[in-house]
Amino acid sequence: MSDPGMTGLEPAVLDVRDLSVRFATASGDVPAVKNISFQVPPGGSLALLGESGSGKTATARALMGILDDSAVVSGSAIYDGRNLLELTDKQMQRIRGTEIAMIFQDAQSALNPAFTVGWQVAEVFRKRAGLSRSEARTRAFDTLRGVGIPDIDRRFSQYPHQYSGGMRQRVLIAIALALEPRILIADEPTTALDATIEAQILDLIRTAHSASNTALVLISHDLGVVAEMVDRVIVMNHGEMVEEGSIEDVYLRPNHPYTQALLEASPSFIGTRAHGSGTGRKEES
Amino acid sequence: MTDRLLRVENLEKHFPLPFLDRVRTGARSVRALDGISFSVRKGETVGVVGESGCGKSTLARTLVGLDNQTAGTIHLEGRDTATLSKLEGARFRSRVQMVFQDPYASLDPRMRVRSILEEGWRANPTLVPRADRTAAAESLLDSVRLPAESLARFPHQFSGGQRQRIGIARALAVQPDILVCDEPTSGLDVSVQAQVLKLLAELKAERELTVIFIAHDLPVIRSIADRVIVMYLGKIVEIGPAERIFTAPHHPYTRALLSATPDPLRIIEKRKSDRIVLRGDVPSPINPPSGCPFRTRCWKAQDVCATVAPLLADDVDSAACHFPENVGFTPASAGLGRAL
Repeated sequence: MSDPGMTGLEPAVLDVRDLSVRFATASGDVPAVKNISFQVPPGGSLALLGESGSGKTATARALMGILDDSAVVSGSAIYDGRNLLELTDKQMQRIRGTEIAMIFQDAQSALNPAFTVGWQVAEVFRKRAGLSRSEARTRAFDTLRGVGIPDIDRRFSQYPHQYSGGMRQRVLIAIALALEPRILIADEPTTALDATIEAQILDLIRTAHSASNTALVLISHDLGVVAEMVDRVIVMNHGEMVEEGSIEDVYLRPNHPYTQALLEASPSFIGTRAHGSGTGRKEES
Repeated sequence: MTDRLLRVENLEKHFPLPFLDRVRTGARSVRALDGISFSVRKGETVGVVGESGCGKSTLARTLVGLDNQTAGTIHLEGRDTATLSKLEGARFRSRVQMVFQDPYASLDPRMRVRSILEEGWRANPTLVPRADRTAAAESLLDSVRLPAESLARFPHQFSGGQRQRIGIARALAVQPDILVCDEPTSGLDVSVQAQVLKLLAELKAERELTVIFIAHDLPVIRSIADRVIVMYLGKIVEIGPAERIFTAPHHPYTRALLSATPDPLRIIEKRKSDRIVLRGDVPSPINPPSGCPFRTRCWKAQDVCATVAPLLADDVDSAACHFPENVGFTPASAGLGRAL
C-alpha cells in the first residue's frame, strides 16, 4: 500500500494494516498506536524508530499478543495467511518463539533467576521442539557456544545473575533464534549496554539475520543503531507513522517536520556538522 | 599556571570490599579511581567518557566533595581542598556544584521547587539576602526557561526534561564556578536531550562557567566538549583536545570505543571505516589485569603490556599505551591543546 515496489515482488512475511492500540484507563481511553501499516518481506529488515511514548513497543507487543489486558487492539496483521490479532492465546502460543520470536531490552528480567542458563535454553528444545533431555542439552550447548558465551562448560550450569549484561543479552538471542523463527522482533536490544558490548550484540544479531532467512523488526530510539541494522525505517511519533522509507531517504531527505526535528536533535548529526566531515576518516587497519 | 582553575593529582578512591569478596578474590578493596591526574582551565568544557564501572561517576562525586579521596590531591585555584576549614569547605562546595544523572531521584519529592532552590542559600546565608530570595529564585527559573509559577509545585508535577532544568537551577543557585554534570541527559529522549544540552551551553556562556561533563555517549561529548578524558578501569587511558581524540585517537581503546558507536552518516555514506568489535567484557575492577588495564581486550597487546603499566606522558595530550595508534598524525587543531 505505502510501498508498491516492495509488495509487488514477493508476498510479505508479515502484513500489518491499520493497526491501532488503545489503553482503557480510569481517566478514559489513551490511544497508543494509530492506524499503522507496514509490510516485512521474507528475510528483510525494518525498524520502528521513535522516542518514548511513540507507540513502537506497543506495536511490537500487539503483534506478539503480549499486551496488557487493558489494551484494545484493532486492524490486522497477516502472517502465513492468518490474522495474528484474532488468534486465541493457545494458537498464538504455538507461533510465539517458534515462528515469531522476540528479544527484550531488559535481559535481566527476561530470564528466570531461579534456573540455570543452560536449563532455560534446553527448555526451548524440550518443550517446543520435543527433543529428549540429553538431545536438548546438546543443542543448548551448541546454541550458547554459537552466540559466543565464553567458557561454556562452566557457564552452562550458572545462573543469570552470574552473567554480565552483554552475556545475558546473548542468551536471549540464543533462545530467540533457537528454533529458527521467520521473524525476529528486537525491542531496544542494546539500550542498556555499554558501547563496546553494544557493538558485539549488534554484530551477533546482524550475523544471525543474514545467515538465516529470519526477517528482522527492530525497535529503537537510536538513529545510529537503526542505520546500521536495517534497510527500511518507519518513524513514529505519538502513535502515528510520520514517515517511511529507506534509511538514505529518511535520514538525508526527511520530509516530515518531526523527522527533521529528530535528526536536528541527534548529537551524532550535530557533532558531525560542527566538526566537518571528519568522523568517518579512513584509518589504516 | 594561573588559568588552571582545578588541578587533580594522583587521585585515588578505594572502596573496601565486603568480607566474603575479600576472601574470594584476595583483594582488599575496589580501586574505583587509580591515580587520576588532570587540570581544568577556566571557561573550558572537559568531557569524561568511559563505560560503566570505569570510575567516572566516582570521579564526579569526589570532585564535588560527596566522597573523600583515598589518596591524591584536588587543588581549586591553588588551594588543596583537603586542608580547608569547615567554613571554607562550605564555600568550596558552593563553588563546585553537581548536576545529577537521575532527575527523579535527585529532587526531594516532598520539597517544593522553592525550597529546593533556596536550600543552598540556607547553607550559605550570605549569598542571597532573605528578602531577595523569591526574586532570585524566579530569575533562576527564568534562566532555565521555566515559568515563575513552578516555585509552588512539587517535582512530580514536572516531566523528566523539566526536572533536569530544576536540577540545573538548583546547582546554579549558589553561583558556582564549576559545574560537574554526571550523565545529565542519559535518561532523556533525544529531542529533550538536545534542549538540555543547548541550555547548558547557553548558561555556560552567560555565567562564564567551567564544565566537567561526564557521559558514556560519545556523540554527546563531541557536541559540547573542548577537551576529552577517556577512562578505563579507574585510570585515564587518553586525554587530549576533543578534535584530536575524535579524529586521531591514539589509544586502541579510544579507537574501539569510537568505532563501536553507530554513526548514521558514516553508515549511509558507506564510509566503512574498520569497525573494531572488542572481544569479551570489561574485566572486574576488583581484580584488574596487571600492567595495562586494557590488554585483555586489546588486539595489539604484547608481553610488555602485562608487565609494565603504560603511563601518560603528560596530562594535556597523550595516551597511556605502549603501541599507540595514529602516531605522527597531527590534525591542524591539535596544536591548540599543546599551547596550554
